[in-house]
Amino acid sequence: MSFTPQTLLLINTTLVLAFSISLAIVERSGGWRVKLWLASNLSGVAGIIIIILGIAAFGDRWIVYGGIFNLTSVFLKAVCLGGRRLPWHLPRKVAWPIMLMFVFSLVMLVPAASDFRFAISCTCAIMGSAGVLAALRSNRAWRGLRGVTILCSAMIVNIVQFSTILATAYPIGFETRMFGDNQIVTATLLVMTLVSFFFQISFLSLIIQRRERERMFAERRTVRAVAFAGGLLRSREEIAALSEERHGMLKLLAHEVRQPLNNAQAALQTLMNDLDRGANASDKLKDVAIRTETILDEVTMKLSNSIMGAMLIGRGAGASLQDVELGAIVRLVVLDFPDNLRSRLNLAMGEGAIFLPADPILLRIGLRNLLDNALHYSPPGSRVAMEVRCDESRPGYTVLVTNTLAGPGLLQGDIFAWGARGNSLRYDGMGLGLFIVRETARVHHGSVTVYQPSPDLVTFELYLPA
Amino acid sequence: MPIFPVNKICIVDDDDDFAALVSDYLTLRGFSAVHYNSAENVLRLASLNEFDFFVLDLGLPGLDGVDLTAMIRARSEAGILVVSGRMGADAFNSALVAGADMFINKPVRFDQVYHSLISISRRTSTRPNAGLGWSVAADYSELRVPNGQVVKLTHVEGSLLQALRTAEGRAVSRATLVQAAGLAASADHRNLDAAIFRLRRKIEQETGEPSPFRTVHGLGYQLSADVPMQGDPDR
Repeated sequence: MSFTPQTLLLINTTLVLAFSISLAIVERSGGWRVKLWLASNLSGVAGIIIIILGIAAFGDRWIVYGGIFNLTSVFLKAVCLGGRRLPWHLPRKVAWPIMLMFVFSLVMLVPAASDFRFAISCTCAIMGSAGVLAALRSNRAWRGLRGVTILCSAMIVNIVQFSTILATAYPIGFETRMFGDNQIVTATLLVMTLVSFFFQISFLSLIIQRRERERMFAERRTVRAVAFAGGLLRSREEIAALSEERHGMLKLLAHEVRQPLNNAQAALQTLMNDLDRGANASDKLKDVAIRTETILDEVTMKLSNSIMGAMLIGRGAGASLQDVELGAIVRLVVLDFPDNLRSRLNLAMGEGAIFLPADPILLRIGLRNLLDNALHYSPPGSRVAMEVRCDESRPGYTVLVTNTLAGPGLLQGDIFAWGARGNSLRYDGMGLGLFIVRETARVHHGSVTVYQPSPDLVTFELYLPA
Repeated sequence: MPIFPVNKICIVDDDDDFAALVSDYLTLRGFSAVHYNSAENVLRLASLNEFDFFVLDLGLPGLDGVDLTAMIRARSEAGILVVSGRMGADAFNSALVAGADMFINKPVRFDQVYHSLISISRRTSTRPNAGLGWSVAADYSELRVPNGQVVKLTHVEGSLLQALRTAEGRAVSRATLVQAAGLAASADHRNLDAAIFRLRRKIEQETGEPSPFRTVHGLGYQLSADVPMQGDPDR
């Protein structure tokens, strides 16, 4: 049995159509590549039908008309396979053969070249296949996918086949028509059908593989994102739990350690009262008692400062403020200091009651630090003036603490920063004092500023809104 | 020797060292002081009414300091000083709400206890009609303070108080208050803040009591205590 060229061509056409329909169904989401491929298939099929019917009904001229469709089909395939994100970005390797293909085909229209038509058609076919091959090789979209090898092989077979046919064509050979000898034509068409068959299948497999790959990447990204979010959530919970524990420890410290210290201070005060009263209490004994009291005092204050400093971190402004009588707190703070330091303080405050929204515990510690700072960074024995003023303009109250500067260079840098310590040799501070003063101001929606009323004096002004 | 109406002081603290030390000190200063280490012991071994002044710790075993404060306040006008090692603001609040006169957090020195005692007993001695609460005249011309004193209000102050009362405890914006009081409007409402500040100062200076309204940061002001109209039983 032998197949007529027409039969084989029809088989080829049916195959292509069948594949196109399958592709259209499978790839319903489309995407420009699939759309181009389908358009290319349709164009190719149209071309073949026109050639077959045209030659049969109207003569050889119709090869040209059909040929246009075939050229378009090749072009579209090249664009589909070679195009990047935007299909018109064809790499040069692909563009040149395709352009040459079109140029050559135009030559075919020249009536004088009618004898060369066969040769030119073969050349066009070779150019087209070369262009598609170049498209496959140059496009990274197909990298690593199995179908590419088959597609490339198909194109190479095409090129080889058409080269051998070209060898028989005029002017090299004697053939001026495509379908001269039935046997060879049958073989040729059979090969072409097979090439077409594998071509179509491979493209379908390429598209499916690409989709699979993209889906896998997306899945991996989602898994990673979920794991990350889960990890974040867990660490946030862990951090919150740790923070709670730490807070609990601080509260425990606040209670358990400060209590016995307070009692030691109290016992010492009793002792000192007795010493003051006793006639034969030696000066040395009194001196030791005073020094012990100072040490205990400093330890208690450092402890309170550390605990309060830690509790202040992350505390919002305005948290838990209630109406507090400022005078009571100021008087309490003055009494917080031992006699030898207290005697250096001058307090100027009006007689009437002053109420403002405050945290009494924080305010007491803040004011204590303000005074402590003034007392320790001024020459021993010098006066420290504390004044509470009503500020109607803001409105609120300001606490002003003025002391003599112990030495030059004490006000350099950010003195309110945590850890910033003055260079007083006498006083070994932790650098927390003014930090707490600043934080106290912040929590109370107030502010603290420092200025020098005269070259050897310094005033710290703590403003608290009413 | 004490010259105030305080004679007998009761100290309740589970820290025996502290309680003993303070008790000794106060005895030295001329008071009669006793100490117990739990609320149960006080209730069992003594009668709350025999004391003029209490120094209480909050963290007591069994019945805690806040409940003991409430119990004492329910029965007498004795001064109550709460001394506690807790550093949270909630401790302060709950003690005062329960009826304590003052709260000092530890560490506390003897002379601080002594001076607080004096200032509290001075206050309680001028406490004629405690428990009355605030009230305002129908024409907003005067404000009666919880301790019985009366503060005169200007027209502007009366309008401001009226606007705050209308909101029934909710925060009132500055703009609303400016309008209600007929003050000149300005971008930052400085004159409103100044007017409210002056009113608060007046109440505080004349009566020694905090004003019945508070600042709501970023918004305006609100009533912090009930201020019913005088002569109106259902406000």
